[in-house]
Amino acid sequence: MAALAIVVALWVSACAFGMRLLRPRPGLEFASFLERAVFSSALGLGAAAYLILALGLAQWFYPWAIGAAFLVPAIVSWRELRELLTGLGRGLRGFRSQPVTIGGAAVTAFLVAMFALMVLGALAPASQNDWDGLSYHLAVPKLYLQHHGIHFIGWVSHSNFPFTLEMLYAAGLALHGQAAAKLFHALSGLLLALALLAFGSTHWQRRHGALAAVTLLSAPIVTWEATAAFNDLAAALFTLLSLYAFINWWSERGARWLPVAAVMCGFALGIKMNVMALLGFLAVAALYHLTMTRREGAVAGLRAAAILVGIAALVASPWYIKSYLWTGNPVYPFFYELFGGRYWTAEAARLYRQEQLGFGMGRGPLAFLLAPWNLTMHGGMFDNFPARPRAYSSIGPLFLALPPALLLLGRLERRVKFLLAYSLIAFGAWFVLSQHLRYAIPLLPPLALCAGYAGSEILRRARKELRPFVLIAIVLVCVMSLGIFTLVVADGIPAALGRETADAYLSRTLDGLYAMAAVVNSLPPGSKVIMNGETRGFYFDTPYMWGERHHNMIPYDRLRDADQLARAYAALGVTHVLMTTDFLQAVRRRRGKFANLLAEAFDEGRFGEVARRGDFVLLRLREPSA
Amino acid sequence: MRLGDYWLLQALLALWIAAVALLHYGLLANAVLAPWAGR
Repeated sequence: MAALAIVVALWVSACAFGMRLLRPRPGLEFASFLERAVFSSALGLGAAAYLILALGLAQWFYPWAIGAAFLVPAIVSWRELRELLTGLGRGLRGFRSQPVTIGGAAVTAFLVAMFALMVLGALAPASQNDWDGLSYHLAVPKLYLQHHGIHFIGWVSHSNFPFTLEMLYAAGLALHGQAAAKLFHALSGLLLALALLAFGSTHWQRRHGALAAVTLLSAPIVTWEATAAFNDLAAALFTLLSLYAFINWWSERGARWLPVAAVMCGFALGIKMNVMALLGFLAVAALYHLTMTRREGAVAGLRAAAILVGIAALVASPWYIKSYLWTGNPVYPFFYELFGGRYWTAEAARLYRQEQLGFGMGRGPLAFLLAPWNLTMHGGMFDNFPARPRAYSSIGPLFLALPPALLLLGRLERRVKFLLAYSLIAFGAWFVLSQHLRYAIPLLPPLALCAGYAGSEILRRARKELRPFVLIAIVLVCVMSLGIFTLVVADGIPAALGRETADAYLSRTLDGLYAMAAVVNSLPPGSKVIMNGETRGFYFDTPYMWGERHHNMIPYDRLRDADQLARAYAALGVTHVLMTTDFLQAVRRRRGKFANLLAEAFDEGRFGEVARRGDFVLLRLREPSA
Repeated sequence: MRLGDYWLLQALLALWIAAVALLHYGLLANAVLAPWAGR
């Protein structure tokens, strides 16, 4: 619970700083306190992340320095801090003074329950449902903190991804622990829902935003992510705010909303590379708006597009420049054939691409047309384990059920058309690049706005006798998504509330990996573990590295025998080898060159078994016995 | 005249929304529970 207090304090200070940067002025007016708070929170958190990046690059990754990255901006924004607190009080009083309706109370109860479950889920230690968090979103910031700075880590290609959210994870880890880190992702989920509410109230009516927020949080993949240390919700938040600010600009709410849209787009690109389509979409939309709608001429259009692209590229650039300087490839490890990349090979690129293309239910034109249906009905086919889908491998039914209502509403409202157009383009990009369920998350909030608008209008305009059907369906979705999310987080609630120790919870839920972490952490100083068939190293305090697939620091293809392998290990300081039992079986069956080398090392007696825990074996390297 | 003025289209839409919701959860339950049921 201390983690919650710390993250709320960091959020408040970041929001105050964001409010200072986004002071209302001519050309930048806010329709409501909620709108201002959401944009300021996002900007303040983004700014804090970049300050932390600067500290990391300066090798000042210490808790005091990271704390100062929040404290100093909060101190210079003390006026805004006061404004924020009074605004919050006023907002709550205003909310309570509104007449109570059944619909309003039901939506509020649903959203509050989902927020509470998101927080509880985030407070539980990262376990079985948090593969990527344990592998790199949390693990790499932990390594940076251990070394007191951001440095090149060759064996985890993912450490060269844009890491804006991971800087906040580093702050959480430095100032408290993993619960505080994970809460930043839950906070992204909360801010997403608040942004949808703010958009509805600003551009349409409150009920549209409310149904949009309900639609978004009815997606189990979204609510589960809020409990895990991934980054799709943060990418979605900045994508939505970029579209939102753009619509504000375009709706004559002020010229300064355009640079705000650009900054938000830059942060989105600083979180996840796969939102690249957003930048192109906004640039074309700005050009179209000024030349075709406003008839201000091509020069004005091009200028607006250039402002957008220039500012967004500038904001996103530190990550891409860092990657370029450290690996030779700004979008490492992607587009290897174009840019190349340190410790990467054409074969690794091929395998990665093959994996990315392996999700989904086909890639042809028919598959594209059927994709919305398939994604809704067979979400598991778009996730990592299609044969054993998880209960949260689903976007829920409302994204497919509600938008067709737009067909019945006559001439479409232009903001709906804009959001639909973006959703369609982002969907196309998703379909072509990688049809992973999670990667669709950034396009869900704009689609949720379309669904919320459509559903809300149908509820208002449809014949009286039909409304109950729609309403019952939405209530069913709320009940089901609440039930599914409860099932997803239930196991971790005692640990989240401190009723079960993290040790007990992780020993119970993380199989042998957590037990093996205890063995690894008790190895003598100077030990270093190489992991094969496993990437989740977050709970390891002893130095470790990934063994295969994600880098070629060990050129297995060029090694001729076990002796050379042992020398390659020694050159990297590796003293122990960790393997999953599946991997060990593949070695015994000599599947591939790498397996052959390891099998040879086994035959020569170069490995001594140290421990076996669950599905994991730890081996010590030793001199050949014969 | 707007499409929404037609009673039948509205009824079809209500049916679509209810059917998508029911089918979605039916298929999800089937997919998630099938491995447990040994299928």
